[in-house]
Amino acid sequence: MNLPLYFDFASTTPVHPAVVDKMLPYFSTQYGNAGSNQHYYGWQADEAVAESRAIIANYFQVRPNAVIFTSGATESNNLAIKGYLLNQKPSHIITSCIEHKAVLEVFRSLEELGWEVTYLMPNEFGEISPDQVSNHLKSNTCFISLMLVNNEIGTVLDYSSIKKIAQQHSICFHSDATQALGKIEIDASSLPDLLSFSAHKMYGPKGIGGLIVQPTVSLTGLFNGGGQERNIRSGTLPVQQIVGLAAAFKLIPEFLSKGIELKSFQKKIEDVFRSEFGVNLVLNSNSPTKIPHIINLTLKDVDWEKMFRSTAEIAYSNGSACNAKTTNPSHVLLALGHPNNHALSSMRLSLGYYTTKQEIDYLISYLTEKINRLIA
Amino acid sequence: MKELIQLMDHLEDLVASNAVFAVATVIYIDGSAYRRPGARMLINNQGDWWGGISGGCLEGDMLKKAQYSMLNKKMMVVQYDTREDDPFELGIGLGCNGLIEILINPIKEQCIQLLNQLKFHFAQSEPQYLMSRWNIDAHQDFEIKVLKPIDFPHYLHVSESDLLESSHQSVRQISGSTYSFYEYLPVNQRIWIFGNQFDSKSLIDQCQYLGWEIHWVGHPNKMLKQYQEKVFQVYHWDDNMSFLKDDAVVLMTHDFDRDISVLTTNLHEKNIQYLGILGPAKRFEKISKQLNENQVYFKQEHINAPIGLDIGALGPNEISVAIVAEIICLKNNRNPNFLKNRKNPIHSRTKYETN
Repeated sequence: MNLPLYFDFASTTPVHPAVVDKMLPYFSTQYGNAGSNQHYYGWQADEAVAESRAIIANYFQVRPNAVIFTSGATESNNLAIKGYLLNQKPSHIITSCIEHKAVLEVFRSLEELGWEVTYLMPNEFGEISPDQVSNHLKSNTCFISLMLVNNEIGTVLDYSSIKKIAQQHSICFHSDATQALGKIEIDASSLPDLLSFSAHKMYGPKGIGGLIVQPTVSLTGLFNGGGQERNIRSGTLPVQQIVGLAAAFKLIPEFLSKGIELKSFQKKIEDVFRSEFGVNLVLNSNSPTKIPHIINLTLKDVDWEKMFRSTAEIAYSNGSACNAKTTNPSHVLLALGHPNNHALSSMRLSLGYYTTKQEIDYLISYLTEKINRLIA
Repeated sequence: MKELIQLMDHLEDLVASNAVFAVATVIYIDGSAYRRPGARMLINNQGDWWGGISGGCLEGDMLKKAQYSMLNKKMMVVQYDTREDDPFELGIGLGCNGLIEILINPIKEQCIQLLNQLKFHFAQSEPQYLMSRWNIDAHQDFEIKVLKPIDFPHYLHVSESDLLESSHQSVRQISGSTYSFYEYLPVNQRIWIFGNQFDSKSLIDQCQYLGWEIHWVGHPNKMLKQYQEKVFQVYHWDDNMSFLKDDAVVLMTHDFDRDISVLTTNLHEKNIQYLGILGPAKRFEKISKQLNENQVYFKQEHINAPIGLDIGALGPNEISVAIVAEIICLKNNRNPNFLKNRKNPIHSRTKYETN
């Protein structure tokens, strides 16, 4: 085992060797610009992009032209929301207060332009229900944005039911699926109208992502340029990144097959921590339908700075929203009703495709020893 | 000094327990900074830390960087630049407005060498200089040693050695990937307290807080046992005493004849940095007259009487603050005043680097 052990797969993942292999030629020998349609190198690059687009489209059961390549989920979310709404007269939007900042901050900026935004609060399990969506619909609701899987507590959205509600009311439904791909099966028949995703959360390279745009939806690009991606996302296509993204999609069945083992790891960690830390422990990832990859817990009354400093052999994330240089309590944990200090003394352990039993055993023994010392 | 001595104690404990740790040292500053070059912070891999490299704004980030350095087993030089109003830089909002450069060294053998050199220094009775030299790309290329000013010509240009000697601060040089850092190492302040009345307790407490080496002179059987334990050594009036040139001496005997006796027998023609006598000016006039009659001569400017800075001190506790402040003031060659009236920087700028 190489220390520190990596338990932060929800932040980012290593690039799978098969993905690296697929990408390498596009750095050195197949370096053409996919927009150069007059020569061999350009045709070669264009072919690679088309092939990649087809792989992704096939996965979602959509037409290839529904796949728009972006730089990642933040751009996809911005493009989906602003690209759909900015040309419209301000009306009503439904989202939740446990969305990623890449969604929440976009809505905050729209509020300043006169849009009305309803932020749904999660229930005790951190879930947002279809009933909540129905109950908050207004006559002028034109957009719903809810994430498929929550990045901090692993809750899974009932997107099929919400898709039906959206369809019944002719409302555009966007979902950030960044944490869902490779972790849960996606029901292509209930796909939201707009779906954001990113490669680096699924063993692909950083700097590439995508947006699925269903044919019923019309988007306006956020910046001007060469008109690539059907004029929705201008900019030279990063062919090697796109090839890497598609290669990661091909590995999704393999990633999903790890789920059963991860579920047993997750249960083991939760069981041991419950018995070790007793009343000091609050399990934040407590939804019965949560993904097996995330364990989010709060250790009440523990000096959180000391906790992170004294557990350097484990790479995990804290219950905070770390922007560039400051540490604030996680908005998701605050929405679950935690006071600030409890939200800060929280840890998110996220498991992944490469997590082994040996690592889980080490993690459990290491963290129980360190945390018991802090609790004592 | 107290902080450095405490840090050495913790470092010794960590070495003895075979712990994983790193030493962070401020090696260069530009503009305003809360700590001067030579300030150190000791961090272990459990997240415990001692000492400090700032007023608190950088320690949190330093803990992370030190953990990274320990895990990598590699030295790091980290720069924090808060000279411009960049809201994404650390230290903004605390009014730091300075650049600070810190070396993090997680290499145990080299930290042990540092500890040994500091111990060697504190076993001496005069200020010295610590020279550290390391190659950021080749960690085995490391040298550390205590220097006397006489050794400077081998290491520093005349201008640099003059600067180091006169400013009592530091010089940091960079040549390619090799860093050299020369820092002034003062001696720990020694104080002699003559007198065993109740007010000596306040002064002992104050000096102990500062980590000074306290020598207490009086009637040992009249000195409280618990206070005898706080001092470095207890002397009877008649014992032999050996003074060093950086020593401070305070007479607070409340006994005219005893003061005359101490000044005549123990302190006459002694080369010491500070001599203060408790009591009003009229009492000191009488003392001077008596000494003259005894043909014992002191230059007036060598005696601080009445003792202490003019802060309107009342009672033993405040008076001990006034005495200690006066000693610090003279040691640092400063003129006491409100800092708000100071035109120059609080500490002299010894910005010096050679690339």
